[in-house]
Amino acid sequence: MAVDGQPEAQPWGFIGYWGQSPQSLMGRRLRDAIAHLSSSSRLRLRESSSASQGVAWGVVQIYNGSSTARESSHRQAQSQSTNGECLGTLSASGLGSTDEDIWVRVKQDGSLEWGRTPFGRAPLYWMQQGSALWFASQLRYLLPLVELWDISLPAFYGYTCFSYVPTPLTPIQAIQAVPAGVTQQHRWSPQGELLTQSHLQKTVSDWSTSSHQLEDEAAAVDQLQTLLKAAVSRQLNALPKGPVGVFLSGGLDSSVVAALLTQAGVEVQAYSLDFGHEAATELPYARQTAEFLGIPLVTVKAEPTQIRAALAATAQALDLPFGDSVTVPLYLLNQSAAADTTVVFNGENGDQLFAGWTNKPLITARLYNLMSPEQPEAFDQQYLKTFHRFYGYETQIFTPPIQDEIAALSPHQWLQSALGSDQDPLLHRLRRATLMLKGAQNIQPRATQLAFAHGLRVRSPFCDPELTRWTFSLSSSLYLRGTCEKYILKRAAETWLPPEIVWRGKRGMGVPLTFWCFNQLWSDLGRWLNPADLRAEGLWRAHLPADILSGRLGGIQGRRMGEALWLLLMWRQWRLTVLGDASTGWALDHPFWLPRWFWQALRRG
Amino acid sequence: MKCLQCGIDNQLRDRTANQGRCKSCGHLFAFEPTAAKHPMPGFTDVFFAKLIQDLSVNGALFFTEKQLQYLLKRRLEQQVLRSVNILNMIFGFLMLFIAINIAIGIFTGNLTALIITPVTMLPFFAWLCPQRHKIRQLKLGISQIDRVTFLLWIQKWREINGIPKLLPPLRQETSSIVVSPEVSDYSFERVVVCENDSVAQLLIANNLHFEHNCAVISLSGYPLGLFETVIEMLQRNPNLSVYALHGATPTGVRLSTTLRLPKWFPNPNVKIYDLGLSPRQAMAMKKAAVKRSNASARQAKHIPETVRQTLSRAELNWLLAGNFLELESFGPKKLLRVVSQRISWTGSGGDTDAPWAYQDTASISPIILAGGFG
Repeated sequence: MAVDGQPEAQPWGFIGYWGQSPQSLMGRRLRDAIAHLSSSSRLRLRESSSASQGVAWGVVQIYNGSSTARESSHRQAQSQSTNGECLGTLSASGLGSTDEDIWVRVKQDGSLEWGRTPFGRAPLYWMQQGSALWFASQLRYLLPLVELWDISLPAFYGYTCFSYVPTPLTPIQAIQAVPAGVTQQHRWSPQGELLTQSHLQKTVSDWSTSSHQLEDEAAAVDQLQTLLKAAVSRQLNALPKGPVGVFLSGGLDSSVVAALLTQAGVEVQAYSLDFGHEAATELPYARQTAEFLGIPLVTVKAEPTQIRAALAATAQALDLPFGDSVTVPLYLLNQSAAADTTVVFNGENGDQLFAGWTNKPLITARLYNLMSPEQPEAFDQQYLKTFHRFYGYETQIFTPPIQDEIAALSPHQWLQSALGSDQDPLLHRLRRATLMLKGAQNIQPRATQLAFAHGLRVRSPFCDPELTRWTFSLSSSLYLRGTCEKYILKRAAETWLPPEIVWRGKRGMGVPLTFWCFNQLWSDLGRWLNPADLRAEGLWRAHLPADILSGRLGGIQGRRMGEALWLLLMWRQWRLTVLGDASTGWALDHPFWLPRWFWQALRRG
Repeated sequence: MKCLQCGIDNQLRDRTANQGRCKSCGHLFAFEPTAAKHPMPGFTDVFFAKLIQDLSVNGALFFTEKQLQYLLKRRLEQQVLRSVNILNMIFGFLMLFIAINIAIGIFTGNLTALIITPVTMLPFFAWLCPQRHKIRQLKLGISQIDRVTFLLWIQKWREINGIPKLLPPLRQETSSIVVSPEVSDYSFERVVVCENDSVAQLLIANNLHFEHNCAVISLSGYPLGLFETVIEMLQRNPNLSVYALHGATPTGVRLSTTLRLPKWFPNPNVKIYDLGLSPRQAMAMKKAAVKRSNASARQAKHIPETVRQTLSRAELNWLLAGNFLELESFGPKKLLRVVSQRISWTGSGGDTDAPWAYQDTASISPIILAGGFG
């Protein structure tokens, strides 16, 4: 069966069970769970049981596209399950078995194994109910099975610190996420207890400093060019008949991907965001790259009107709360690309691999650490600050009962495994940490979610194991040179792109959120973040939105105001769209029903 | 007076009976407003705690002793000003009442209105006069709060309640701090050079270097021990942006010129932006805490001719008269916000001569407010 020129249709998700409970019961619950799925999804059910081991399993694979058969059932013979069976796999790129991102398998010994690749491009969730394990590629698939869900406060606190929920937590207490780069094996003991073993995959172990550090710049450039071409080449199978999309930000990473695709003879259509005349847009650079490469560029408007219209759909598509301001613009980008193609490429992971500009403040912080008026900060503390979210503002953002409950939690615990050893060179530590945290827990899964919501496969050539392993054998001096970040990538790309694109300083594509919040979105804030809803939820202080915009949160000023507000907004939107919370009422004890100029005049007075 | 610890109100007799402690929880009061020596104004613990809370923005920002002293004086003056306004209102009301009565008396020949009513008002005037005198004394008292007195208050407060966000006195390290090559090999895109060590300390403590990925140093070589390393790192960037941050002082107005000297940044490719406060801007600020001293007047006489040419006659006269306005007269929030805005503004190609005065977040350019991508 071929879909869009692909040799075999790949699933877009799955949900299943494995356990010792009666299969009829688990099967019925599985059918109940999938009853909530969209009627446009095509489902394939498989079930099996092993009397000797007393274990049964069932899985529903979910495909996009209309089908007359809403559900096709396929019952496996008992012998097949004992030979080892793949229950579900998912590939964000759509390349199937050569590029699996998550998998669930029943092993020959009857145990269940699942895992996620280290780049974290697709999530995997699970929960235990009695003597059954339930697993799914989306959180919302499992929600109907949880009769009374509770918000996980550690997950909520983690979200406020990082703008994503750190694995293995999920916002729902009963459901856990499999961390990226981890394989877990489960078996039932004779007493009926679940025994679980977790181990870090070898690929992640390779993300540490190699004993030999390459210093020769010419050799490094040569090797990197070869590796980049190979990484792109590995992503060229099963392409659609028409053009493929490239999300072109105007920065170096996406430009490199676009250049290598055109060099490989792939028909490419570029997509870039336009935030309107007000923003520090990078659109001119995207135009310059597209013109240089001779590829068509579609500009996608992401202004308050479009943001407002796509907000709820974005929260639903993300499945988990992701608080970064860029998610809605990226949703719009995917939406636009989906009209033309089924595969998009992006430059995600370039910053993580080649030590982008976000590492610089940490180097500065390390230098000035000795001048700290308090105790010199530990590395994890400094790293935590790079998230620039609500960490350190707990008393000002949470209600007193929540403050009490999270008092014993330390967000550092969610950083430890990624930060590695003090013995490693600073830049390698930072790159590893950023790959495992900001990359694998935030940037990659949200890119996949937003693409999947539009029926797009997403390919990220910088998420390449071979290339990543190689970067750890490169001397730190080839990443940051003077004030130039990603030095070696720039050297490798200078023959492929115009010098203004390669060597310009990082400006960062800006989402002018604070400006929008004070202007076009001002009155919307009163609706989206109404104190009545915040009070009913009981987590946030009811007047937090106004406090943020009044500058009452000390260090959260300027553009950080919009970012902080957005984090809160995306949490609320996630509750409304994914959990199905209803708005609880309407309160007027907020400033957003007043004209903004009047509120400002009152404050000044 | 309310106890900071338990919030229970303690009357003077309670405080006296409990040797200055709270009758409920036993927490010691740091200040006893009734014990203030004339003409020094008295204030409560709650008043002082509010100062610290406001200055640190609920404990989020570090501040200097001088900033706290400026705020204390400003708040006490505001209190006095409120009293003055109330007395002026009472006085105005009395005068109006008397004028109306006299007018009625003249037109109607009513002696009661003409003479007796105004006379009955005399006790009120008698009450007003000493009140006005008391206020004048209070103003005098506020102006006499010297550094020694203030430090004693601080010390007492710290012993009883602590001030976590008050910056410690500047350290005097002389030995060079060893910096790992994996840090010192890099450079900075920009540096903020402050007129005073204490302002540099304040900016670093509040993470300006982290937010803007910039070096922060002072004219006199703060931070000691790291200064030479930072200068070496900066010299590695031929296209450095330098931000001169100063108050409206004789030293401040010449800072940008000083930074062109061979020991600093003589390379013409290095851009120097003046983020400081000019005398013109200080003169235009209505509520600025302008000070005057003979020492400042003497320093002003030595302003070089090249710098004098950049100042108007009014500005020069203002400085020669010994006037000056320090950066620490602004709180940390305002200082950080203005510096951040101006760094972002100049970094995005904005007008470098934009007014120094604080701009409300809502009114500033979206370019400055744009968030990062990803």
